[in-house]
Amino acid sequence: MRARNRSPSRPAAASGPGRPALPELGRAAAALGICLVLWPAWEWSGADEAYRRAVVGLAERIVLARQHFPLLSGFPRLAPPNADFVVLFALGLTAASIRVGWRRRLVLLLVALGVTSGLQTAAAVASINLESAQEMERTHRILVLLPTEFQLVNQAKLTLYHSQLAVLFALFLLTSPWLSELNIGRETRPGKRRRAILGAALGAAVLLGASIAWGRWRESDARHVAAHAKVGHLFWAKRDDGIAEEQYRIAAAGNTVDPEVYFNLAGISAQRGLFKDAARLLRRCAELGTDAAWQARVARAFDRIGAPRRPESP
Amino acid sequence: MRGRRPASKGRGDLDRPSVARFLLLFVVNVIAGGFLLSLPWVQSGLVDPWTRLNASGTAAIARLVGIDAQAQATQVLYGPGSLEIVVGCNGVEALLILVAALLAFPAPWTLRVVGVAGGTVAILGVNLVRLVNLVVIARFAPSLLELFHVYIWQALIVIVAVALFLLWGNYVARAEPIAEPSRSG
Repeated sequence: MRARNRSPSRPAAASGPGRPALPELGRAAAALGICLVLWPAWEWSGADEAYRRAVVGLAERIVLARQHFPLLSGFPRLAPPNADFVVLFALGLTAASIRVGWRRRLVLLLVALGVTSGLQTAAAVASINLESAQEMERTHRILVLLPTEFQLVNQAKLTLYHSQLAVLFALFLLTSPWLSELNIGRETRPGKRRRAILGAALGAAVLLGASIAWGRWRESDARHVAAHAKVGHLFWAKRDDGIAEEQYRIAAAGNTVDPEVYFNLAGISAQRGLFKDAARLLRRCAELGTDAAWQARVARAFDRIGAPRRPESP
Repeated sequence: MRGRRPASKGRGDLDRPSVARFLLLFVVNVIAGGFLLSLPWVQSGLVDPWTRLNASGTAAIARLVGIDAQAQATQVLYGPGSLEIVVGCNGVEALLILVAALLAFPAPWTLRVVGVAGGTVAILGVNLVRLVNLVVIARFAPSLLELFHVYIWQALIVIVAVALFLLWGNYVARAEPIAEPSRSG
């Protein structure tokens, strides 16, 4: 009878995990050697630059397709940290792991490269978001990312960079006979897979819910609403009324206190012949712009559209 | 009532879920640890002192090998130049990966704590060797700095973390043996 107090996931020594570490060190040395042999060819052929360009290019496309504020048209200055050694070391490691079948090695290599390039792309996306947010704040005083968001994205970027080394670590273990020789967790509990699937689904649902809740909370934050208004002003000044209107509408939906938003929206409505809507927006503008200059501007606008300052009684 | 699964599966079938569980926990630990390390109070209370310790240790060892080096916060000043120890050079990510693996591995907590303590000292030691080596290279062969900094030492620090984990794992397996799992048939 098996001892009940033993954890089912304890390592089993009986199958001999305590093998000499020498072969593993030899494998590590061989992997490093291959990596260093590949390095000059990697640089000479321009593969390093091509790889970096591919990562940055993909990150740029993702940012441009998903950016919340339509501010970026490209980000050519991004120089991500040099992390192509992960690619070379992964190649070296799989080549040196001769005790593992070539098919398994190939699959592991492809997975490692896929995960690594994914992590690097995600880190580049985070870098673009952070750098462009800093630039917009510096040059236009627009808070593209709220302080908490900035901190979160920065944390994510650092974690993504850390995780690249974790990929190499995991690849090293997965190509090592040591891990399978330990026979960890030989006993499989009934329903374990179902619980794992349920846990993953629950985790995904929590993440999705948190993301939706975060998005809603952000759109109601006064600083974020003000950022939409300022982005609208930028595009208004460039005479790009389409994007300006879009940003103004978001800002108005978030109850912005910037009278300029309502004033410019009123102008757009008036141009379309929607004078009632224009008058409603001008009234809101008059509520927010209480100084004499604003009152005079609003009065002139009312005259132009020929609408009464006070709403007509029904 | 659900019946127990037969234990007559092939070895690979039995191992896969456990290795997958270990890897999953490892990934979760790395992500959680990465976020923890980026928190401002962890940065100021743990990472910054650790980085300054690396800088002062590097300067002290560099002086022992005949290089006039001084530590200034997280910078190591040597002769004509200086090296700034930033995130990625302070060994924290190697330690994070090692600790993530130690915590993901099925072992008693006492052995995990011993592993974390030993791993911290070992990673700090190896990172000091790495930084002193980089100072020497920056001083005498600056053209090789990128090769050593990016390619050789990044790979070596991962190898060191793996080696420490394997040594610890072997020790755990010997210290906490369980019987050869029974097989039907």
